[in-house]
Amino acid sequence: MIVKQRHILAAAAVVAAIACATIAAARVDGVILDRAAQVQGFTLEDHSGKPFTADSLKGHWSLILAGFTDCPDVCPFTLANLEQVVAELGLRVRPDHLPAVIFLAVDPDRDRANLKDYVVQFHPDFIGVTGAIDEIDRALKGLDAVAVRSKPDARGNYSVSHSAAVAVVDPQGRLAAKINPPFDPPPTAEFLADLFRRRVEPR
Amino acid sequence: MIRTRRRFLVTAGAVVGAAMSAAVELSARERVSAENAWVPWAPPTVEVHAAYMTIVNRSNEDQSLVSAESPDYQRVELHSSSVKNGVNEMRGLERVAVPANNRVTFEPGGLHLMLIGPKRPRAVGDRVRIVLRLQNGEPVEVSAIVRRRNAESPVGHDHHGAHQ
Repeated sequence: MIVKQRHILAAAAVVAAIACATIAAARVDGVILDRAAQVQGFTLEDHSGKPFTADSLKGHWSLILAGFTDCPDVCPFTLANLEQVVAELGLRVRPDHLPAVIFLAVDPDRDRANLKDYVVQFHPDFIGVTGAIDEIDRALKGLDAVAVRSKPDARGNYSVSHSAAVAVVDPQGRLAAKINPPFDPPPTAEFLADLFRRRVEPR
Repeated sequence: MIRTRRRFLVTAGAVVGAAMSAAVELSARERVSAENAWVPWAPPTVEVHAAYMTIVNRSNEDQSLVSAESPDYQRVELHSSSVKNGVNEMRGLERVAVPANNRVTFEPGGLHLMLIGPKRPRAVGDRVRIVLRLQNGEPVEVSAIVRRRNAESPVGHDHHGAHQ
């Protein structure tokens, strides 16, 4: 059943890729940094409870977004898009160049319990990461991102705002690019494939 | 046979209703309706869901949605997501205007209903009942289907039609 669905998705992706080929440039808002910036050290945990540090970003490309698990709209929307971006990248780059997708959960008190379920619903390889607030903020800073947690109201409700961009970290653990919404899969995959190619074959 | 009779009764009821009220043109259901309503499937541990749909106003009067509720959730709120200075923000809305002879689309990354506190887990293919309330107090019944986000791209915008 899952296999079949994937097959349909792949077929649709090809159709969509062809349909969008001519307008691809207009549909992705990506910025490649002139000079990739080393992500400073931080110590967090992944959704299985294993340590996750700045070193965990080395050896592969990463797509990192900030969010929280009570976020019903934008975070799942972005994660679903990234699932499709990676599927489309599979048509363009070698498997060992496919990026890890990392969801940096910025509301740890609420996020810890359901982080794994939340993240793997989009793809079994997606990684949820969270930890102490100050460590989260350090990781965010290294990714040129922010999270703002509002003061709780009388009922204890509070809201969380966070950067909309997806950070692209290179295999040396450096922030290499940022992608702003919308993350339409075909042009976003094309943007990333182009970025990866530049790094593999420096011009 | 039964079906015909029911229809007749409904029609008769509508005629009586129309006679009783000078201003009746179309029923509330015909004037304002929700189409293509869906709720993205979420794992059982996730406590906040979203619902998306298109609200169609076929009347010549401007309408507004002012609240929503669901027997399947503790609370439902009208929300809007937006990006301000590179930061995602979500805010609650007091009302959502649906102009005369127009439609308003609730879709990922924009307007959505926030469904808070599911009363039981939901499986793909289940229906979620939601009742929207117009400013004049009239209800708009919604039956939203639970489906996976990835099954049909909600993100596709203009290549939507390719995903079937």
